[in-house]
Amino acid sequence: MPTTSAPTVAELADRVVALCETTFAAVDGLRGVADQLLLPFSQGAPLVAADVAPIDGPVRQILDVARSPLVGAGLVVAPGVLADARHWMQWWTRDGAGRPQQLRPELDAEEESFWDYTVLPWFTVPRETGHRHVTGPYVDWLCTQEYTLTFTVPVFGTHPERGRCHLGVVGADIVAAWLERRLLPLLHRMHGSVALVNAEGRVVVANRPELVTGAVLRQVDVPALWRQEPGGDATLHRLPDLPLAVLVLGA
Amino acid sequence: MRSDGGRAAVFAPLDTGRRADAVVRRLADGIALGILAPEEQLPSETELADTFGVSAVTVREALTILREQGLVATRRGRGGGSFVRGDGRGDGRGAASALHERLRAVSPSELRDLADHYVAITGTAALLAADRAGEQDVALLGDGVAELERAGDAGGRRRAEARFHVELAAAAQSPRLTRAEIALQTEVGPLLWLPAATPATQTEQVRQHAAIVEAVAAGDGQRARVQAVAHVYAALARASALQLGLLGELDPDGD
Repeated sequence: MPTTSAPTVAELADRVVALCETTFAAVDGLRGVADQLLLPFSQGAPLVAADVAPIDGPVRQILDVARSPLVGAGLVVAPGVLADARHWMQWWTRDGAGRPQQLRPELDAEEESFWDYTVLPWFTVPRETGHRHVTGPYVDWLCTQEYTLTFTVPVFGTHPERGRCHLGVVGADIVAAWLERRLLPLLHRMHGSVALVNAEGRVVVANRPELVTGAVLRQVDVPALWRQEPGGDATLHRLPDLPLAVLVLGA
Repeated sequence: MRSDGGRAAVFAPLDTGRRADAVVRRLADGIALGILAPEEQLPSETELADTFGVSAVTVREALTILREQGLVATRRGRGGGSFVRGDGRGDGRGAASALHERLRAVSPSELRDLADHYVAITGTAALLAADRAGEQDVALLGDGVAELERAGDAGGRRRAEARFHVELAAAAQSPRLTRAEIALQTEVGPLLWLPAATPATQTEQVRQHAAIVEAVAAGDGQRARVQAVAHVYAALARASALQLGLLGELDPDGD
């Protein structure tokens, strides 16, 4: 049997960063298209929903790749940007056969079944921080109906009269199981209890059965550790430019 | 002894009927959850066939079943097509009479069994949500309580009720429990929530939801489960009372 030394926290962190960056690279491609389609807004010209529909092509293209980890992707527009729709999205998911299907949620605020996405973290966090965000893992019951992580990037523009405006987000979904499968071989060979967690202390994947994916850690106050200066505590290793961290709980 | 019948059943081709049932389930779930709104026009038969990856015949069969269930109405001619039936609108059979029909169609033991199944899902969802819900989950559950408080008609109250339960299962971080909640809403909605969807019971339902959210927020799983179970059985008690009255009026030798 080959003798290999146990992977380090840095190796695990690198692997997570690489997987997340691959996903964000696809989202960044969509942002380029969205910037172009939303350009008239910054020139003071009225925009309508049909103007952003051409993002469907690139969205379907990134979903239609064989073995793509992406299960959903698209553009979600902020209220007040489009002249003919206060709420709007061009969002696609993959069906059971892997084919892209357009998501058609109720976006008329007058309707009782209106889906108010403007209060959900994948929309609000990038808007408030101006930075990309990873939401989850969470049960995305309206879209994938799976345990999901949503990667979103904000889109901003500068209107001649209204100034700098948040125009929406572009994003993509992956299922938690995909990340688990890719990280467990590495985690399995690590010493001690190690978990990939989000900022609220929810386990994304870990190498101990008691640290099951989706559980919120009670033995460690992750939000408190998160607020400390990087390097202040050696047990929580925050990942660069990602709302995820590797938590080492000892042997 | 090995049963070849079992093997044959496993490998039997999927018949059109089963595929039609799957289409019916999907659309009925969408209607029960309010994702497909009352009066909303469904995509054309060809579009539906394309979307679900089934034949046009299967779609037609599914639409016939949905019409029989009173969930969609088909209008002919220009601007025609299949539409989601609104509560109290449609072809004159209001929400109340549709409810009475559904309650007459099941027996008391079937109604009780549905509530038992529903309690197994909802009670466990509440138990797990108390352990696993994040701030965002609790906030969404709170919004759900407010939505029920605001709801102005029976349909709105039923939709708010369905949403709350789906959010509760999502807060439990379980896609399976969430999908089970969504699937059960088609049956539970008309049988358990519509009888409870009166202005008089609305205050009581809001109080029950608030108690569940409070227990979830406090991380008290046992209390959340007990509250959720009591909530479902209170709805069963209302539905049963109504059902006994309806069945009592029927001819005992009739169908």
